[in-house]
Amino acid sequence: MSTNLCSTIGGNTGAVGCDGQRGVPRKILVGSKAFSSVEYATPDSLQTAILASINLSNGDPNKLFPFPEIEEVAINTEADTTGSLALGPVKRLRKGRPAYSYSCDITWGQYQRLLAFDNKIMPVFSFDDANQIWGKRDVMLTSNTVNTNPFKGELARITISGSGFKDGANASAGVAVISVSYLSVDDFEKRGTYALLPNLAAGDMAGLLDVMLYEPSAHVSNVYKIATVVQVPLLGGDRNIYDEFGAIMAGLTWNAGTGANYGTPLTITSVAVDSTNKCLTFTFDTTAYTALAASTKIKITPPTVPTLVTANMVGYELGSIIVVK
Amino acid sequence: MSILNYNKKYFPNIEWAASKSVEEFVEHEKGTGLPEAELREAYELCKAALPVEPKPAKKEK
Repeated sequence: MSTNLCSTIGGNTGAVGCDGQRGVPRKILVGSKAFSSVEYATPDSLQTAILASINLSNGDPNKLFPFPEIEEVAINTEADTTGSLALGPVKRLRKGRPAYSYSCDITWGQYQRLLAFDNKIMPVFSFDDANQIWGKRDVMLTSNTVNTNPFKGELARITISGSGFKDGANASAGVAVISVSYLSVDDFEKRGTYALLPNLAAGDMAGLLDVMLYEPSAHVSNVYKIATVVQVPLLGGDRNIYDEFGAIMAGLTWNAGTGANYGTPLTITSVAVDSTNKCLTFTFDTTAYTALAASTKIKITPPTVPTLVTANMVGYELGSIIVVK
Repeated sequence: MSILNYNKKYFPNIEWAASKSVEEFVEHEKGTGLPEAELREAYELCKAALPVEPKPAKKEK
């Protein structure tokens, strides 16, 4: 038996040819989606799964939110904490946690939408300039190998700042700054893993636009007018998407409900486009509608994001609306 | 719920339409502003589009 443990501390340290290294981040995606080994079996299957996760409706636990394209990176990783006894050598007391700031030159409206993520702790995937997406391997009870464990984002605190006035002297003034501060060195280092996505570009992963529904005019008995707009901070500038997508939206299945949690279905007998008022006309079944008490709330639920994508209405999510009898 | 794409502007609920008489359908849907002739045509298309349930297999003698 040897008198030291040196040969058992670690393993062999060889490098594998063409193994990756973390590149320059181009885009981050936040959300709790965990990709299964089936989903990341091939680059194509993982790419499909990533894009499908982006094109989910809000509230879906598998939803991923792509952030704007990164145009400048600052490394804010904290220094290791060190200390020493009076006569001793310097010892590392704690490893510094990884942290990065990403600058993005974005519009005011997009900045305001990003503020929902300010000061939140969320799993983060990072897509770099070498077509690699970085995350961590999650632990499973039955095995602990890179190749079969779920692939998740690395947990980080996200803050959103910047986006004020420009100073006319520095290009970096007035841009939004997204700071990503990882909570665990271990997740970032030992459990950090990546996948190659040679056919995916950062621009392929774009965030969706929320579409708000509202009643442009009062209903006439069981016939309701519903308009669809994308809200922007420009006063009076909300964008009605009727001209581009009115017929597509009208041709999809909408649902309506009343009662507790709006779980009692109310039949929509037709949806028609109203080219005069640039909105949709919803007609409810007269018999069921008449039976409703006055002031009953009716929730109209739109088609889901995957349904919109299938119908070639890509990049949008329709909100629901509650109307009153 | 199945949707009929009539004239790319009017999308009636096929099952609901097929459960009504043509008069009931036209009366109900006039709030959409479509002319009666077009509503009658849409109704007939709804009836035609409704999937026909398969007939039960013949019993073997």
